[in-house]
Amino acid sequence: MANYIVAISIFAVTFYFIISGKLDRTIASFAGALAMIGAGITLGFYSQEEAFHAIDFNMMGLLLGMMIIVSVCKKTGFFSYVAIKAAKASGGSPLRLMIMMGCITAFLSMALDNVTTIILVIPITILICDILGISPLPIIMSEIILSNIGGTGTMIGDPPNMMIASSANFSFTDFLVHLLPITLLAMVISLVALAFIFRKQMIHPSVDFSPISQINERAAIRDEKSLRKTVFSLIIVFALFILQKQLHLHHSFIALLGAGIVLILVRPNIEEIMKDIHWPILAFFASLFVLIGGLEKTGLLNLIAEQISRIANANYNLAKISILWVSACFASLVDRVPFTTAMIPIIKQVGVLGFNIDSLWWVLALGVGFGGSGTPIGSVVGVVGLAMSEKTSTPIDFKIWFKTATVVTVITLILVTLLIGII
Amino acid sequence: MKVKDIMTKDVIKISPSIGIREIYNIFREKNVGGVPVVDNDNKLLGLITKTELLDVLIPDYFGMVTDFLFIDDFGALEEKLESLPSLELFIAEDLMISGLISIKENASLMKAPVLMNKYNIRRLPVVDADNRLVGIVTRMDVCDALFNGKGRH
Repeated sequence: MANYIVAISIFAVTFYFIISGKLDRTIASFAGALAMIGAGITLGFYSQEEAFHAIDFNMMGLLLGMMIIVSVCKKTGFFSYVAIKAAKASGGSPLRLMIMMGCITAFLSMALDNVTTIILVIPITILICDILGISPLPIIMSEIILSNIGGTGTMIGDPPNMMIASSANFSFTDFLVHLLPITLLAMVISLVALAFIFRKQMIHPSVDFSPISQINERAAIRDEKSLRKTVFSLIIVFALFILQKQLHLHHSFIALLGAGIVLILVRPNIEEIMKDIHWPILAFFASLFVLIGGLEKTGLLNLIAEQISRIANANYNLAKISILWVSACFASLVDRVPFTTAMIPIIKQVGVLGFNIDSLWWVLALGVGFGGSGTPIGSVVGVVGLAMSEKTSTPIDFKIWFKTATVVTVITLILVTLLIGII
Repeated sequence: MKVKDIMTKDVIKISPSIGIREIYNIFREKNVGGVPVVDNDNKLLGLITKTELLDVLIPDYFGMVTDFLFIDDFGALEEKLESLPSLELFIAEDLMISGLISIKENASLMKAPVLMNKYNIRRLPVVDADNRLVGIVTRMDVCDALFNGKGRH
């Protein structure tokens, strides 16, 4: 009992500091992890070896590998190229611009990092809207929402998916089969909902499109050679991911191999690349794994797993729906990363208790992924997007967010709920 | 030699409430590249150069756009800038670089070029011990002192 109380107190205090922002989340989780190990050694529920093994190096390697590839990719001007191409294809219609920009953000978020995508796409979006003389707000909103939805669609789209992939031993193709179709459906429905919500801004008869149509998007590419090499490396990575099961390769090995290939081919300044890597995020993940590992060793998480199994025994779909909505609430109100980290040992334990947990993993991924757009603080993409919109003449505030993004999030979650039987 | 030996003592300075058009007129009429902003007590608050004047025209978010060299026609954005109704509302306080680097009048002459090159600045406001503006020293002032072997008198 003492173990429970100590472990949960350490967890609660750490969690408080992470979500209140009173302490940087990496520092808070690092301190929490150290406290958990200290308490574990003293009380005998958690050893240093166990703490070390709690860190999912496979997931962290996957994340690091993808970060390196993205870091090389973003210097080539590729993101601006794609954004201009999409803007040109819109023909100056605000509705088509919203659909095009939303979709490219979603697809880039599926293949690369969501936050990088948003940081590079939103400013060019604001510029394009200003050139056209239309409000960037609906388009920024669709980019934020579709970035979160798109990131849910693939194994490498978002860190929670990477964690789930590593823990459940799901391959890249498993995600394509189970999550991509529903993600694409959610994208379509979100765009329809956004078009309806912003229907007034979508009518804009007199737009002078010539400044956009004159832009030569190829000029946006700063380094074509590096871009070709990056795309080549990405193709290798995706090919290996697709053949992952046959080749018995770890997720991290494939991503790091891709990073290695891109570094050898492009030979960028390694110091600059390393500066681009979000080391605090990696440290945050490692600390969380250690922290949650301690909680798991006390047996506390098993109690939650038993509750879920009880619901699942009575009605399996009800268990899935509960996980979906609880995950979405945690993702939008608290922080999806610690939540996912805590859910992983719980779902594993439900599996030990004799349930087929495959669909629980998918529901968790959908809940934390789609739920990220529920509030402005639900995802890093939302926080960054909101801050960027403040520099425009029509900033997004919490009220606008709740009237648009929250509504769309609830719609996408209802969609998943309706389809829960086939997930 | 000290900074005060080479500085220009007769400085054109403005108060923080001066309007943008008046600032433009100062640049237009007097041959200066920057004007210090001081309060009633002559304490240094900031500095305005032509860069700050131009910055008014550039939307805030431009700093976040990684590259826009490939865009030649700014369309509606340009029309909006040309007819910027709020332009006249800007005052010195909104434009000035605050927290700027200044130099003490009793500092050694050597310190001026060190600061100028390290922070890539053209002119250094010179202040006394109480942060009151007493002069300004430019790159040319330092060059004059170096090449003519003596300060300006």
